[in-house]
Amino acid sequence: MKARDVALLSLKDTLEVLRSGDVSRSEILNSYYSRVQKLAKPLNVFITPPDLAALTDGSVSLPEAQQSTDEPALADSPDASSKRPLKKSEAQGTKRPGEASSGQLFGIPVSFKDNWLVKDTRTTAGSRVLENFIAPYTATAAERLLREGAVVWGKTNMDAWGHGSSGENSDFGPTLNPWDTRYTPGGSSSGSAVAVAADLTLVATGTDTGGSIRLPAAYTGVVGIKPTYGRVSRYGIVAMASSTDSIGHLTKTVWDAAYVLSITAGRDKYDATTSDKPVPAYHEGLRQFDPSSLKVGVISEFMGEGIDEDVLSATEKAISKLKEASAQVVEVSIPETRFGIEMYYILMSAEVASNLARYDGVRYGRDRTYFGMEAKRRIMLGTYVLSDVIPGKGLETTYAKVAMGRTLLVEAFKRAFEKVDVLITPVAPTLPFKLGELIDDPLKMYMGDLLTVPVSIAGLPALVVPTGTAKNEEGVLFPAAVQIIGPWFREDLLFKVGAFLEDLSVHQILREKLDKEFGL
Amino acid sequence: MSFVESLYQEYELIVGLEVHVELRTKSKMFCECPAYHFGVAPNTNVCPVCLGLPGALPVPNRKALEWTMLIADALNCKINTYQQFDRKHYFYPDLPKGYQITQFYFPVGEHGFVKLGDKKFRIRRVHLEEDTGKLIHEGDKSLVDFNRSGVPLVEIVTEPDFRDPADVKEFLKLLHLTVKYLGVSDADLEKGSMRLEPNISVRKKGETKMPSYKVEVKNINSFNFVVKAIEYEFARQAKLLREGKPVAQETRGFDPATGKTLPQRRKEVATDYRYLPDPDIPPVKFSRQEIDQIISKRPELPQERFNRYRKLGIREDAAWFLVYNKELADNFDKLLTKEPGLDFKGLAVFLANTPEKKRSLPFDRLVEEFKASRQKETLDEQTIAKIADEVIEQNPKAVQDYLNGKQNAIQFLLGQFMRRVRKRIDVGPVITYLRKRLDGMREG
Amino acid sequence: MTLIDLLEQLSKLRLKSDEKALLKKQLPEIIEYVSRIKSLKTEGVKPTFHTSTGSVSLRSDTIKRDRRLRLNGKYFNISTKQKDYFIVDKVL
Repeated sequence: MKARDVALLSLKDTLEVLRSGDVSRSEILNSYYSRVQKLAKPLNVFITPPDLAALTDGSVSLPEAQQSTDEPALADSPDASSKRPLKKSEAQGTKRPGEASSGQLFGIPVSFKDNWLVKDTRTTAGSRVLENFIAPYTATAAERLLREGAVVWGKTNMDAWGHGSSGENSDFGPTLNPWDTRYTPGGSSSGSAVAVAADLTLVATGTDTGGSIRLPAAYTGVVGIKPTYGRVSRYGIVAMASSTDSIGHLTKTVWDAAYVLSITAGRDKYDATTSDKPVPAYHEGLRQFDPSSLKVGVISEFMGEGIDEDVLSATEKAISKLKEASAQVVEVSIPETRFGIEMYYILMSAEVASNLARYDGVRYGRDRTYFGMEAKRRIMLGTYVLSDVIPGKGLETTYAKVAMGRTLLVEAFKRAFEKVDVLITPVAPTLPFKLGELIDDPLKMYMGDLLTVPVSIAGLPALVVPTGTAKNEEGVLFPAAVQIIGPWFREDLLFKVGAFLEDLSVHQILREKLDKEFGL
Repeated sequence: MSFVESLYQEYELIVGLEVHVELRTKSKMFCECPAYHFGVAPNTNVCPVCLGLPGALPVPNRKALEWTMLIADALNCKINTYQQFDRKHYFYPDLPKGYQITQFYFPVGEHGFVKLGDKKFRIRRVHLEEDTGKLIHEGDKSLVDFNRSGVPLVEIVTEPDFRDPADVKEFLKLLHLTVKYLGVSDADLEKGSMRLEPNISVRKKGETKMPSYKVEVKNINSFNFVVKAIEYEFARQAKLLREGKPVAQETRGFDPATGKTLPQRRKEVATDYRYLPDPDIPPVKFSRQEIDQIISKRPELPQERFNRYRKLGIREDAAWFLVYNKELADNFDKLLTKEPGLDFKGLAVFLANTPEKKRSLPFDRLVEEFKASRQKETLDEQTIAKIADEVIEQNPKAVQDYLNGKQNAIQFLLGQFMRRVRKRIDVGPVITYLRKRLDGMREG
Repeated sequence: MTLIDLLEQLSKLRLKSDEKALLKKQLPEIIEYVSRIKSLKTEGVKPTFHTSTGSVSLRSDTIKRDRRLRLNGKYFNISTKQKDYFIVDKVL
């Protein structure tokens, strides 16, 4: 198999060819690396790019035999001068003692959103406050991936602190949408989404607080999973809104996303909000799914006014596909979603203001003058929400009020899931927008979260899958996607429906476009 | 009448107390770092959680919650089955997260009381929180050590029910003792594992409305200093009020050298703690049975020990003495089970009368001394005769009473005999001799 | 003191004059927008602060040393002169 083609493969197929011996681990990494060298900088994907030299000790081929160590693989040094040659054992990642000789992700490049702490990697959360911060410990979810042999493949670009839906709030410049670099790829997991979409990595991790995995997944044509709140540990991931932060990832296919979730999910004693519900092998039995037994709900409030035609038609197409396979489609009304944006911005900003209070530059990082404008805006809004000393402040803009609204929303979703198995909705009201279009109108930017935030507030799981393409008014081709929402801890159902709906050709279309443009 | 006395005539003291108790759990409140920090090299018991690193999350220590329940129960509080942890926001270098995790909305215990004699002092709340790091000042810089950051801290708040500093001292001593009895804290005032903060206000006598201000006094590390601070504040505040001046609501520091309180230079920003139920910690729920079970396993409380000693017949003052000297009492109890035949009532009195500097002797030594003092000496016949004859000669009335048939007069003579001898002796032979002599007189 | 000044002080941010001007305009708009939640009827509704269903969120009183950190200039702001403590300008 040609090196170029290897980077096109899904995780599932990559694992297969590795197992069969057709391809070596070094070939995998080398083929991804050659794409990184061509595309990463122009698209501004990484804050800390993968460093293949550090991984392989300068030699091109990695030995096939696995040696065990207790340390996760080190990949990136913040600056070239402090680079030290890694031990071969470190470069290969780790395995749990007593494990079979290859971990479930042995040799697989995994890129980490830069708010995931990975020990000894620079971890910035997209902000200048942490521009030179080296993580002293590793997030639990990252540790679980690294223990399976994953290779740290760079730290991806993001809106600073997760504050944003376009990537434009990154203190390191926005990531560009590979479908058309004048447009945003969505945010805040912008770098992760583009890394997967452009075949610069096989798996990229993310976080979703109000839509930050789902939106960039939709805007770049990749699969994004936002698990149930509490399904995956938040320990070691820079907190944004502690009560809605969901730890997930982006991949090329639904099977890939399911496989990775089986590894990251599960109770963590260092995160009191994680659930002890058992973790199934989410990737098994995806093809055995029969839609005729499925009841699909369509949220009427999400299908009307304010949603672009192309977006609506993509959702309707997906629904039709399920109808054709004999699924039942039911219209559900959830009027409690009406105040989603208001509730989210009150709740999230309060928790953001609280979570960012620790950044004073005393123990680590830089002081608070290094916060960007959006961070400052949200901190001030959150301080307003929490404060008791603001003259004239009403009882409505309080955390408690939103907590009550949350009860109503949760109850409403519970009632909906008594009628249907899953809900299918668009992901955003519009197709991707141009860089600079909304950056001066924060409120308008916030409105783009309309379809994603109610899910976040309720803590539900949601999966975004590309279902086709669509052209915007200017005739630019973009991916089209849908959001599949399920009951709490029913990611298994989401993956089954998603596998049925996903359109794998979308990824191929982009691949061909990029290869042509960049002469690959 | 002195000036201060006149103030006491006209004005009334109102005191509420805030006491912090550091729990001696093995690990910190929200992480697995060792909680012990006295004399430990700086910043060596720290981890992402207690350093407030990005991504760190708190997980509450169950034992700390249980011990807080014991304290709350000992103070007769109602224990909440639903408890919550909340974030209290303020910026200070020893507070790594920019907020302290405490319990504002649903504390462990509320609405309790302590009785001193027939006075009742109400406990508003008992809650659990995390301690801050330590600041050390060096020149124009401050050094921060986070070993103490995250250590579990119990806060006990009373209602402003105190009117007399003597009651405050007694209350604090009993609270201190209770905490030691529960074994949940070293409660060392000097080391800071128990911290005292009186809130003091003053109003005109006869006034029933609570004053609109209160002055909090910090940096007090002994019960006597609490009294001094209160007395100083009373005079200071009453004097201001008499002059028609307002008393500022503030925090002051006690200066042990002068016995005065001084304003602290820290600027008071509008206190806006922006309390937020901590989203990282789901509410803690205990069933009533679980709470009862936790409390049923607690050690004996001071009042209970006192009652037990009284039931054994130990004199009241000796019983209190033992209760307040826990180590002695613990040894005493051990001895009771080992040597059930011992005169423990006498031992208790003996210990209570032992001068303070002697109390630190090894307990076995003290017991030996006690036993020795109990040895009844047997006097030889000549000594008995000599002293008894003297007593008879010098107490003719008692002798006459006895000869007239009053048998008890011999007790009086015996008493006189004992006064001369001044030690424990076997009284049998003395009585025999006295009877012989007196009966002999009858015949004579 | 204006709203922006008060919030600036409470949140310990130091705004530049152009940032202040921008926020003076944007923040009230945002606050007004989110205040629309006023029309959401919530009387008698119990608040939900946590959607997690973590059943055991307490831990036992044990010490673990493998997560402990050492002050290290690589990760923390430690000066070479005073490597055992963090240093701040004197606070009162």
